[in-house]
Amino acid sequence: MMQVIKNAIYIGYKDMLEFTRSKIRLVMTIIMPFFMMIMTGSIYPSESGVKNIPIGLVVEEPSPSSDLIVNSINTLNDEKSFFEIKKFDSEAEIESQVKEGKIDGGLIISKEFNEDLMSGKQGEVIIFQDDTNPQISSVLTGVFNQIVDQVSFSVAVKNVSEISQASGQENSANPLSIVKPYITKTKSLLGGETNYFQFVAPGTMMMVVLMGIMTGLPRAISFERESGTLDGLLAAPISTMSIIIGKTLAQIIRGIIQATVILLLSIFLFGVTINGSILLVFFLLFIGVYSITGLGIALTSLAPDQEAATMLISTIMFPMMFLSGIFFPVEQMPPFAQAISKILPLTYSIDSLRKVITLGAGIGDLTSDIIILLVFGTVMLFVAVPLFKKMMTK
Amino acid sequence: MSKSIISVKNLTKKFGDLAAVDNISFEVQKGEIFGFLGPNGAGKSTTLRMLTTLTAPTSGSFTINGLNPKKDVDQLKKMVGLVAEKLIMYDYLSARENLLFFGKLYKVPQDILEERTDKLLKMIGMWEWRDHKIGTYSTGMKQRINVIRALVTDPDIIFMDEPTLGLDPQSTRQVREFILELNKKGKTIILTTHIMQEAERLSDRVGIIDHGKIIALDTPENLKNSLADKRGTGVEFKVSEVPACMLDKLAKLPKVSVKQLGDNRISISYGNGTEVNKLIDAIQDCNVGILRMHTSEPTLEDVFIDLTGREFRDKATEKEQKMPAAGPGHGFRKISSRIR
Repeated sequence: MMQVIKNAIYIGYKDMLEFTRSKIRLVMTIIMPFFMMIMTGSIYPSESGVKNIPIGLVVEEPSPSSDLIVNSINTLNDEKSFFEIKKFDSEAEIESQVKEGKIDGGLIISKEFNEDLMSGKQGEVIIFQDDTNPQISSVLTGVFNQIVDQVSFSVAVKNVSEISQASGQENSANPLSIVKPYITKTKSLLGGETNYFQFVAPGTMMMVVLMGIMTGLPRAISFERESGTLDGLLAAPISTMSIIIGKTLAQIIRGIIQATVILLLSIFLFGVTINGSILLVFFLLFIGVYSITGLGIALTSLAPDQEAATMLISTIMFPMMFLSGIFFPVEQMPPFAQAISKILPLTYSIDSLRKVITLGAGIGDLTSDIIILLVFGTVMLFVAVPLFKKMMTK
Repeated sequence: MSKSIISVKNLTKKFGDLAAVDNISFEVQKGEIFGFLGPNGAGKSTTLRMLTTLTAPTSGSFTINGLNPKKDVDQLKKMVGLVAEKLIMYDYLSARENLLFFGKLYKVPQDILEERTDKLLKMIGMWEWRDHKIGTYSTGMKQRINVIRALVTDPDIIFMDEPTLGLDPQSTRQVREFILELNKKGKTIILTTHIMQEAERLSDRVGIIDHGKIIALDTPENLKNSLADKRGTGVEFKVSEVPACMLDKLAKLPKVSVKQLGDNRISISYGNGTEVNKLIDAIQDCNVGILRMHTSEPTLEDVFIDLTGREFRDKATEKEQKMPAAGPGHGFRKISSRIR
């Protein structure tokens, strides 16, 4: 047993040595996680990310009420510069501008708005959205709704207090509680705001490590097989397990280096806070790797050459990446996708890692995740190792 | 001969329905150079792969120094060195790193390993290059490292699969001399080749293999002699003239046949036991002067043709031999000159 590990270390060391000799590979090891983090972190548009979106504004008939709305849009915009506001005369113009892609949406205050208000009805402000861009649309709609709500709220408060004053009631109820009797306050385990990076960083870390194993292992073994050096290892008086362990070891070390790069970037560049133990984070990375190694080896054994290996892996990698909750919470997925995500080890690795990084969970909170990962990894290894041995002496 | 070190019985390897190696049995004697000669695809490499435990046989068995690959695989592997056709070395590592890495896998103690590595590097004239990456070496340099890579573990038996393939004449000669030198030091060497002269020059015994079967196995000398016995030896004369008298006299000699090749050239083939003096006497009797003569002995190629009824170099072999010389290198030169 000791000899198996010793030989595995020689092979792993040899692989790392080869790896460090290639400058481009070294540089990419650092750059790749950096890009990955920026990319995954910016995939979701958030309100804070919205800047200078071109929108159209139509006020068909200016009135004190419409001025209130326009003014509060302008005030908000001066502060946060969400929009680049263009004025138009009619809804039709907004329509054609959206079609041409010149604006991403619009706000229309029609003649009817004033008429309805005068006749004691609710005034209707129209939000025009661009259906081709649902994400921007939902952000715009949110912001517009908020503005109109606020204006409408303050007008209501003013009206209520005028009414109560007119009716001569002193010390009457607070107008706020009449207009909006219920309000909400958000509380969570973490103080302060959660950003998307906080959600995406654990997933990205795990993904980079696992992607490294899944693509690196088959590539490394297929490459040795095609270049003939694998024969040198197979002819040597060492166990096949030494080759598997050694190769995996080198890939793990590389993956952990990349995960560390992501961790550092997350903390220092993207403001992610690690609420749990760092040691536990690395422990979970190892468990995650263990869970997937068998699958990587099995795929290597099934693929006759490097190209086939790469194709096999990417076929499996992509669904795995998108269904395991790296980018989108699993709970938001349709039922069949959720069912698939439940059988992916990556789902559990990411879930546990996120609990530690974001929620500060301890090892006791993760028992079920860890057991599932260990079982999955062990079963896959039992399938993969005989396949691999068979492939090698073909 | 001395005692046998490798003993192969009914070894067979099938890929699907195709038998790459078909029920072969042979023995290799300790201390000899055993050559496997055959065209590409004859089953030489597959046999070597089975003997070095890289491929599992479909059926049959073998032992190396009495060791069974099923039971004593690690001991067996330690006795054996492999010089594979595809070079076994890592381009990003230096020659020294490559040698030390493989030595460690064979549990060679560090001090002995380093000493041996340095000695080998000096021996093949690669000492100055020891710390350069393999990727920067020429083909000939790489092959020299490939050979000594098999020696850092000090094996008793060395398998070499086409050790001179793709090398220039100078490197080829170096490698061949090195093989002979190793043999002198007592190493048993089993090599495969599709080059007749190589098998003939290096091997103590040659096994001619075709379609997965050993069709002849003996010393190169015996193989050629047996063909000479069967076919007779040939001799060609350039003479001053070819009178009928001479042709007549020659034809009357026992076990001799004559053919006129040109105005003053004849070819004679004579069976065993015929003395060349008799031929010369017959020519001189007719007052014909001999300007030049040469005997043509059968080559291993003739032996192969005799055994299989085919030319040795099939189309596939031809192609492969021409490729490296005129193929990619040529194209590259063309492109680079165009760029310039």
